[in-house]
Amino acid sequence: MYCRFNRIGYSVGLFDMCSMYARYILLLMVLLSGFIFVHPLQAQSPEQEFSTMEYDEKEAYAIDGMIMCPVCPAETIDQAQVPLARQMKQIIRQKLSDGQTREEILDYFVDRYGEQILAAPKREGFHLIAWVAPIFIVFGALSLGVLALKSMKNAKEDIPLGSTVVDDHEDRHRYLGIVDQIVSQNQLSSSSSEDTVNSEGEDGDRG
Amino acid sequence: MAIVGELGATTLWMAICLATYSGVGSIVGKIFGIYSLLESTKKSVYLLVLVLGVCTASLVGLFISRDFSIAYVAGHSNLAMDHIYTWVAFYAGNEGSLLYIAFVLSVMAALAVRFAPSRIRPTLPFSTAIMMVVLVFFLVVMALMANPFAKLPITPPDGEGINPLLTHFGMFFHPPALMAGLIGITIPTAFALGGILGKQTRDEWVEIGRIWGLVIWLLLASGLLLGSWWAYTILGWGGFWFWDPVENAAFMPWLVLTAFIHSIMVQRRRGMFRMWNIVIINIAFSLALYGMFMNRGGPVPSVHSFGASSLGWVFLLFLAFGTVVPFAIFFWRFNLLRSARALESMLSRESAFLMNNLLLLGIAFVTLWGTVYPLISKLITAQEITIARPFYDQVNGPIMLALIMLMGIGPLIPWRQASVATLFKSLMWPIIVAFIVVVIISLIGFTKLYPLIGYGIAGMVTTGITIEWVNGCRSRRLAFRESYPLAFAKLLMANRPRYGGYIVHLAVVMVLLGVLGASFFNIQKDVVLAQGESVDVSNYSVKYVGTNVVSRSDRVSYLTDVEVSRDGQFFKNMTSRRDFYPSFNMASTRAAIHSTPIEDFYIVPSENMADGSVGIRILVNPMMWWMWVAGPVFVLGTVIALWPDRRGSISKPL
Repeated sequence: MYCRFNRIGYSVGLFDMCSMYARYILLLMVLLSGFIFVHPLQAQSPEQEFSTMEYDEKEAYAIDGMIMCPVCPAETIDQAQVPLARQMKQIIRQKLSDGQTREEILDYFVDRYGEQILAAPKREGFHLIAWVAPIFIVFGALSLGVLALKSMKNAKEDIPLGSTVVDDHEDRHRYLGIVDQIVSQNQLSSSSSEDTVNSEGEDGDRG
Repeated sequence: MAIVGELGATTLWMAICLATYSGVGSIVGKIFGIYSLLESTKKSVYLLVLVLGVCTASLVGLFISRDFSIAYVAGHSNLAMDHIYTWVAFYAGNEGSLLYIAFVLSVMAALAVRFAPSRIRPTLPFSTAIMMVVLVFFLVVMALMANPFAKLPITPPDGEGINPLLTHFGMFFHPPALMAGLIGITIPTAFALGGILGKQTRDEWVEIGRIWGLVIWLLLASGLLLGSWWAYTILGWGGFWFWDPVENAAFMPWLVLTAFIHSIMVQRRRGMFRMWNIVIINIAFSLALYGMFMNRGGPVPSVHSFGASSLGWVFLLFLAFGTVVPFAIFFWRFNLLRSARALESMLSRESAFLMNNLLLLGIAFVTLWGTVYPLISKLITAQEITIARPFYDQVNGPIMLALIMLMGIGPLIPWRQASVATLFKSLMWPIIVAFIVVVIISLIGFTKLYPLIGYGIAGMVTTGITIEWVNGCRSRRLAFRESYPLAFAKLLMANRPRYGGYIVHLAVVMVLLGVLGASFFNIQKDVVLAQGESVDVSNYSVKYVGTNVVSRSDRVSYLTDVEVSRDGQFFKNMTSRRDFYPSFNMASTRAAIHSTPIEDFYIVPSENMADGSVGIRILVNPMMWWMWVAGPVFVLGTVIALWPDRRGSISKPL
């Protein structure tokens, strides 16, 4: 929310220098980047509030979900069942029907309780890091993955000793069965003839 | 009865000795080739189950005999408590849950040793030692810092009682399933690390690692679902998932384990990803330790703060140990881990699995980031901030949708190499159906972007799976002249990991439907009603009939009766409940829910006023039903995927 309006405000200066098309493209980019940052649920326009007589209930519940309950562990006032949370919800509804916007209401609570009253930090200043880092985490991981796949494509094959190319699942089972046999023969002292029986079982044809 | 307490305390120390002996003995026996010693340590792993079983039984005995001279029993039960809740009280606090964890680990270790396939026997002693290190840690912490058998100086006449939030059916399974799942990750990790320690660096551990991985994945999945269900019915708020720090701590290992059970298939089928699988099981293991650290004395406030304690730093140390050592072993053996073959194409099942892994890890690390960011912010800006539900919803939501979309595409990409043309051919119908779904839903009038994409993806995944099944059945029908039901059953049995996986994918789609419905289309109303007053919510009308007050020895129950009508006609009488526990100064609620595949009608009292009026919350949650039904489907799919191959008796997959 904050972010989208700030960004449009920012880009006004740029607009004058741009040609018609570039302007639209820029606008589109700004909107798109806004979209990435803004959840649709929060993107309801403030105008909607005027349609109802007192306040928009959906908006009120949305704000409830953005404010922590100061006295309960890790709960928003939407979830909390204590009187304080109830009073805070009442304040939100009161302010909404007075025509205040979401931002004003959130600021009101931040002034009183500090930043930690918000269930998620604002997307501005230092705390932008909190929101941007996930994008880097995911795209970083995916591009590392692509690099890894490329190197795997050029990798040397590790063909086990004394065998031709291990081609299929079944073949590998058979091969490993043989290995098992060798291993269990080597360990005759711990022996367990059971092992040999098992590996013969695995050695058997699967088809 | 004092003797029972002594028995418990003694067996605890016996278990420590036995576990240490098994751990040290198996390493020494392996290195010096003393087979009798190896055999003896194996037996002592089995014996541990018995010893810890006696230890567990004696704590249960103390609960049943209501021996309040034991601090733990006095702190977590009272005379009014039903005996059936002993099961819950047992792990309601730190001491008991540590004992539970240790007992479960000993059982799993014994099963792991007993049923280890012959292929991994040569390195089994190393794996055993790793399991024992973890077990000894829990046992020592218990004995020295959180002894469940510690005595009170004076025996109180009655105990404090069990936390009322825990007296719910879901609590019989949710905590034990999650704790067992978290500690269970030790077993596949031990197989992986034991294998590379003993220089068995090919695919020896893969089959057994996959089986344990799946079992534990299922434990965690059912634990998480049951936890959501518990939150939905008892927390009196109507939500089912709220990204609480402890929830996250259980969710992250599950995500990583989900990645593991996919990527292990690549090694099983193709002998690739040998390093990656070890890395990923190591990550799962350290996240599981982190999960237990958060749950048992973690530093972050949470609704799970049942057992706040000073155990935090010990767990933190073990978390560091459990993260550094496995990776050290991995790097030590790094040069031995080479893929059996090179990747043939960038467009193949193998690479789809890697992308799936990375997205899953992405969600896990973003969640971890959200947990640690407040600490970072505090260090750098000295500003206290909170990261809660809105953050995770907005950041993880898109990644999850991308992941589910990949879930629809991945299974249609063949192993080794796919051509763009064939991929498009098999994706054509799923994409067409996705578009049809989107168009229909937006014509009905739901135009929110997120759910539209979500429903489109749901349609795509379902179509993809259906087409696979229909094609498989058809060709079986042609080849073997089987009827469709028989062909379907045989198809499932022919490639169980694959078709079991498809069933699990369908369950994921069901969860998606529930999440989308409840997060985007729910209708919520909080009202205060006087007796006889009514309120309209959506097409329902709720009339408050009255409240019955029932006093019990430990609580006062307010049973709120309402009369619900739908579309102007009488529909149902519903009774929801609010229990107030004076000794805890705490209330717990039990919502009245009318659940159908289309929508849940949910009603819960939030406050009972002195004048007889009641504050209630009414919710209409579309499609929630699907989320809970997904649980059994998860189990079914996983069991099919796990069902062992009886070699030689199964016809070849088509």
